[in-house]
Amino acid sequence: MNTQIMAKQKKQEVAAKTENPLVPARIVRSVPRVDILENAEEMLLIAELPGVSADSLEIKFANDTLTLRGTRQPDITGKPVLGQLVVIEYSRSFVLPQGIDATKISAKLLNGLLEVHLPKAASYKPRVIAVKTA
Amino acid sequence: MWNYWPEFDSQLQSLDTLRRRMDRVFDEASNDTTQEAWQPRAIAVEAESGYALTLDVPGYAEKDIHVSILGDKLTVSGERRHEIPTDWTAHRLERNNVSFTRTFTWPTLLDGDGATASVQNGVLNITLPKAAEARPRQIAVATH
Repeated sequence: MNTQIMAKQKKQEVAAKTENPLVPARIVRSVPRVDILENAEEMLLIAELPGVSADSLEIKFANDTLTLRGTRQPDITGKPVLGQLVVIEYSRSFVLPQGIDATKISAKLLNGLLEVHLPKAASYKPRVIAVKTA
Repeated sequence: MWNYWPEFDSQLQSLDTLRRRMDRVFDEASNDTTQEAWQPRAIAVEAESGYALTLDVPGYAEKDIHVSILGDKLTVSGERRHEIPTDWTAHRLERNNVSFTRTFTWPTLLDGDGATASVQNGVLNITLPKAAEARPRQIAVATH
């Protein structure tokens, strides 16, 4: 799966380069800013990934580590007068506390924000214990 | 959630506390300059008829953004909500900017009426036609 994604990224890079052969797109690495929240049910990670499409995004969870990776092509073409037309590779990893239910992780991309919902395993959720009276 | 191996966890916790403190030191050291100065990343290109500008505005919806044009100046501002619901605990809040204003001055006058703006995937795309008098004009050469 990983090699597939790498092959895809390679293809995108080549595509970006061939669009304008005079100006090869430079690749810039970027660390997205995040908010990390927690409630009784889950942890929620919100990452800023503007301009990244869902299919160029890779979310991996292994050994309590969540890894985000996304590639972004230049949004416009032409003669730059401000900034540079670059390919941005977003990437960041997080070590999460134990007890995340890996099978229930879900993610949503909206307005350039990636929300990763990391539900806690049942045994890690707070439980209210009813006290019986004899 | 932390009750399985109390000792191991408390070790981890103290490491975590240490890391947080160090983060805070670095955050505070850099805050003075970065906090105030957060500006969305911008890229602009020029064509004969006008300019195209993109601004990274993740988390801002179209209604959160205002664009105005005057002469050769374009001002973009945005404001968004950043509230944590009451039953949530925040572990990390890096997206703490809630507003920005950025003004761009262009080499030519702009045609404000012809400009368009839209937000997609957290990227604001603005097209700015040059004012009629700033566009290149084809002059026919007359022969006698």
